[in-house]
Amino acid sequence: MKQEDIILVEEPQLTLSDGFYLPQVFIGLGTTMKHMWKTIRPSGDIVVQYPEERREDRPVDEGGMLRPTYRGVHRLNKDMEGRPNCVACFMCSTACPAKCIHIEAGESPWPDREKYPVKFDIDELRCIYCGMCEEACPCDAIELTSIYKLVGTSRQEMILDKEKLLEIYDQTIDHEPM
Amino acid sequence: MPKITVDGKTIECKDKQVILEACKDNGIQIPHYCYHPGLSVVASCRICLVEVEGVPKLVPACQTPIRDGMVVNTNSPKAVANQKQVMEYLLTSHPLDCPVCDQAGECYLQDYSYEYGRAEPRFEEEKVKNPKKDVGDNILLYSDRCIMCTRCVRFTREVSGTSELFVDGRGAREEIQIFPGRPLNNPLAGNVVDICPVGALLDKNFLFKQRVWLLKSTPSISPVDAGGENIWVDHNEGKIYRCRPRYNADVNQWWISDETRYAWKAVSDGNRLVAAKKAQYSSQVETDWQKAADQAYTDLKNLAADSPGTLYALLSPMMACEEAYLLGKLIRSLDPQAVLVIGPVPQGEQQVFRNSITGKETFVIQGEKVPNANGVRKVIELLGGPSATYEELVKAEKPELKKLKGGWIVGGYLKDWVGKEQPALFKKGYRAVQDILPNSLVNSADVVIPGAAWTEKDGCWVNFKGIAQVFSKAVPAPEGVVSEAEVYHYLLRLPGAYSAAAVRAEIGEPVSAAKIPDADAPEPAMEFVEL
Amino acid sequence: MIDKFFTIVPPWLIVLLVIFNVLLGAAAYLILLERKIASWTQDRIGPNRVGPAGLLQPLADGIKMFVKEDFRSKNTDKFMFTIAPIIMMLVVFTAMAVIPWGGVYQGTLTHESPDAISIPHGATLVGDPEPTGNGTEVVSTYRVPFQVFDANIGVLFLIAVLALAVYAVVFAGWASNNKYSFLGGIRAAAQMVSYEVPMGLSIITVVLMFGTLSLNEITEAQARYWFGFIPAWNIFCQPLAFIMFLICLHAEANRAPFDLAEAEQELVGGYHTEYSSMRLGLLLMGEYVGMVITSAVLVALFLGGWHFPGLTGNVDPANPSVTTSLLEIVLRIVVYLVKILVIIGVFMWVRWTLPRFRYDQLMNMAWRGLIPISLFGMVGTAVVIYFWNREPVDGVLLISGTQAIALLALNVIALVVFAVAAKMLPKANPNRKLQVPGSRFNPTQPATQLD
Ligand code: SF4
Ligand code: SF4
Ligand code: SF4
Ligand code: FES
Repeated sequence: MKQEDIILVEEPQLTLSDGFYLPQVFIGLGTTMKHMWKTIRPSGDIVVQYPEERREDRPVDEGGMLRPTYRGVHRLNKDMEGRPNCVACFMCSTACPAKCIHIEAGESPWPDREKYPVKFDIDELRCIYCGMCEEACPCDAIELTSIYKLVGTSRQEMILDKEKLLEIYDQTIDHEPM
Repeated sequence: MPKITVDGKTIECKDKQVILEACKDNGIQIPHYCYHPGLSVVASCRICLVEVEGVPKLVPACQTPIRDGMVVNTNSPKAVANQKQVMEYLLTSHPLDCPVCDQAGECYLQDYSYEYGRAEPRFEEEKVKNPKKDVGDNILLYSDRCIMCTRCVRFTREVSGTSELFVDGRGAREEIQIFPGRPLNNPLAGNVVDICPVGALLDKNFLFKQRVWLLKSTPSISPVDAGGENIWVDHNEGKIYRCRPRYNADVNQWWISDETRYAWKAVSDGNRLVAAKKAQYSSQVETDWQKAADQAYTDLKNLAADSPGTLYALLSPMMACEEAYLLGKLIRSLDPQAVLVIGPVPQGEQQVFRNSITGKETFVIQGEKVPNANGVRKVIELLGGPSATYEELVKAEKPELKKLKGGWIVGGYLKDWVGKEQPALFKKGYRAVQDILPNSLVNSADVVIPGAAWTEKDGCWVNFKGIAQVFSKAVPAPEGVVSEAEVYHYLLRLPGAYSAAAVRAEIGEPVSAAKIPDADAPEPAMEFVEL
Repeated sequence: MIDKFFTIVPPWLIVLLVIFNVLLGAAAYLILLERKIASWTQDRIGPNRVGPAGLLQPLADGIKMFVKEDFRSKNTDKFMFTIAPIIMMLVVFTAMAVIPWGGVYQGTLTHESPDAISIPHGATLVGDPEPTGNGTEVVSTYRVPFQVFDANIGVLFLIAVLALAVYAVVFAGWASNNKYSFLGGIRAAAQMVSYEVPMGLSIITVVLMFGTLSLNEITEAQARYWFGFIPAWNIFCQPLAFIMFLICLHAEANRAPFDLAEAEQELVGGYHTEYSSMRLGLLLMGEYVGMVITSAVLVALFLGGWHFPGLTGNVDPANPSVTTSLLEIVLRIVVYLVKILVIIGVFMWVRWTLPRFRYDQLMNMAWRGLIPISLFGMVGTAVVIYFWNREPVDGVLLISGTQAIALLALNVIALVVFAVAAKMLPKANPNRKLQVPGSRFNPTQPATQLD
């Protein structure tokens, strides 16, 4: 590093009015008052009123949801014959930074492939919805859908198994093609 | 000492080395498939071809001996062109199924394809699909993945000497085959899985279980016989998935027996003892290990208080030397005249393997079916005082054995060891038992403390040659189980936490010389093997 | 008619019952208001699920507080843990007693004989009862303040009682046996002690001007006009003291930007971390009721209390608070409450505007800022009023228009003086390290066992 690269930043001195705090306080109060007025005036602009209003119902350029890139709950894609595309290669669980995908592989019952997942569990509570699994999958078998509503009454319920993930495929395939 | 120049770098090599080995010793990588340091050289895969100045054609590095002053180019345009070409040809008949292949991650073809191959395939024809074959009890052959390096064939001919495998056919239809009715079931068969550079030969016990990059390897020693074969224990999240040979020039070289390979199954046996128990009103109730150990300690102490010379300790040859030493000290602290008895040392048949062509001895499976009889004998000798063998205990003819009333018995064998011929003391008297699997003794003992299997603790074993070798803890013991040594450490009220290395240092030679293997150390330099 | 009723149910009891219940309800609704204001400043709507526009939310909250498990963690000090919320409530409701809600009501009563005179409890007779000529009947005129207890030491009483609130916080922090709670309690104690000083000084400024400690009389003194039209409220002649007092109230109420005692981010809620269910409810309610009470004091001291142009009674020119109309009393109470509501609105507005102070800033502000300024203001006021030889009107000294201008001038001078002084004062280094002997940072002694 050269001497001229160094920029000495002086701590700004408080001006007289800053030193008294109050003028700045009043400016701040003005700002919040402006927001309050903007919210309570008859045509107030306010945040999305979930659940009556949903982002997916809004056009994208008005702050709506961009479905194709939204990263929500996972699904396991199926092929034409309704079998899971997944070949249990563990690429997704290897790539997963949260280590939340647990696969048990087995010999597949179909002649055209070696391996298939006997068990495929994703702990949706651990998942950080980064989409790395989707990136890693060589078979386009795992995908993140735009479902963000995910509720359960126990931790166990939030570990989605293979059946559940395939079911999510059925639910979402119509509006989110593979 | 001859010197050669490789890629402009002058390296020193040993006499009678081939170029590939000299380069490997000096950290220069030359791709190779068919070459294996433990097998004869066939130079059939042709990826190791290098350019030698003065020689018009490319020469195989795995076969060409060095000559002083030789100038070798491993990455000249010609050599590189050859590498690319070999890779491309190999891949014309290799399926693209790395995602489902168990070898992926430790596959030579994958690594070299990345390093020396081309990114885009040009092969547009249909690939030949050779069948998947069941070649042995433990081994599967995916012939379409085979690259015909013939390492496996050479192994069965030159190391196990059983010659089950052979090359069948020519060209794209060339396949590895077994003879009808003669499956690959020799006691060393598992080694072909390790030497196969690709995923053609796979272990049925490991098939689809884990991806290799998820496994962590811990250096360990074979528990099945006195040979002390060196192994890697591969495990993930506290579960063992497989064992592989670990190169040791003095002990097992590159190979292990199948018995060693699958010995880990006893560790994850569902019948493992996991709860300490103590006898109460003629039944056993569960307790925790500290309470059980304290109980055994006070009971034995009370026994010995009346008359010395009434206690014995049965030191199992499955124990580590450190454990045997600590138990010896423990029992002698209760009763200075306590008898140290070495547990049963089962003898099996010694199996010798010979090169089927030259008749040279290649591998021996020891007949003594426990890993540490030698070490325990040494420890007993070191501690001095009265001692006995298991047979003497069974006969109970010696006067000092007749006085015995109670003892601390350690099992730890990988199968049921209490045979028909058991000492009378196993049925009467006071018995504090430490074992890993249930048996008749455990079911009737006064105190039972579950023990840890060898993958769950640190220790050292002395093999039949007297070489002390260290094994390390790979996976945690089941919940509520601590290693034998920790129990003794607790009862002896020794300060600090138990450290196997400290106890080894206390025992002295030869055990103290044992080194903890460095898990990250590169494979030791290879010697040229004359076959 | 109503006068007869007052002899049975004295006005102070009515005030007590009404105000007590109003305050309890108000505390709940203030929480709703707080949440609403928070939402508005953040472009949200706020609670709108329970009832129309979320108006029943406090009810739902209350039910939640009541039905939750009354949990006390294992190693708490049971006695202190229990009495802390009680002290909190007790203190704020006690302080309520001296607030002059509606001025003085003057009524007349007819008695059967001069020996059987019974006037409402807490009332005083004006003059002697006069015979009506109807047998032995006499008519008495009495005055009764609409206030629970018209103490002549009202202000002193308030300071004393409000200062007790710190016990609740410290007890809660200590009894919780939790380091965060404990830190919260300690911070609260230091903060309250520091800010009580400038608060007291601003109050003394007002007391000096009127020569009385009775809140009723201080309010009454402001229910006049300067130059015939400007309401004689103290805020107009002592703006600095008003602002000091307002700031101190924020600190006393432990509200942002002075909420270091309960800083959620650092202390997980501070002294009430371990509290739940109704115990927490009491602590929170105490806080909000405390806010109402302290705002009431502020209104009484600086904003003319119940006074609003047109609401002065003209029965007795010396005592503008006296009125014969009950309607006027009710209107005054409404005016008072509206003023309080405005002040509380300011509290909340400030809370959602300003970030929390750092602890050293907090202390600096009290000891280097507020205390010198209010001290200056107090001494200045004392000097100014010393030069006017005023006659007390009915025991209270009054401020005339010219005096008010002089005091205002004094405030401006104080501001200028401090503006100049602030420039000249040595600046405190916020990052200085105290050299505690034996600490790692002490260069005078080699640090031994620590490193
Ligand atoms: S989205 Fe990210 S965190 Fe979630 S399962 Fe996939 S890789 Fe793991
Ligand atoms: S990466 Fe894709 S194919 Fe591989 S295991 Fe995961 S989901 Fe299955
Ligand atoms: S099966 Fe493996 S070891 Fe045998 S020839 Fe084929 S690639 Fe080589
Ligand atoms: S390694 Fe040299 S030819 Fe195969």
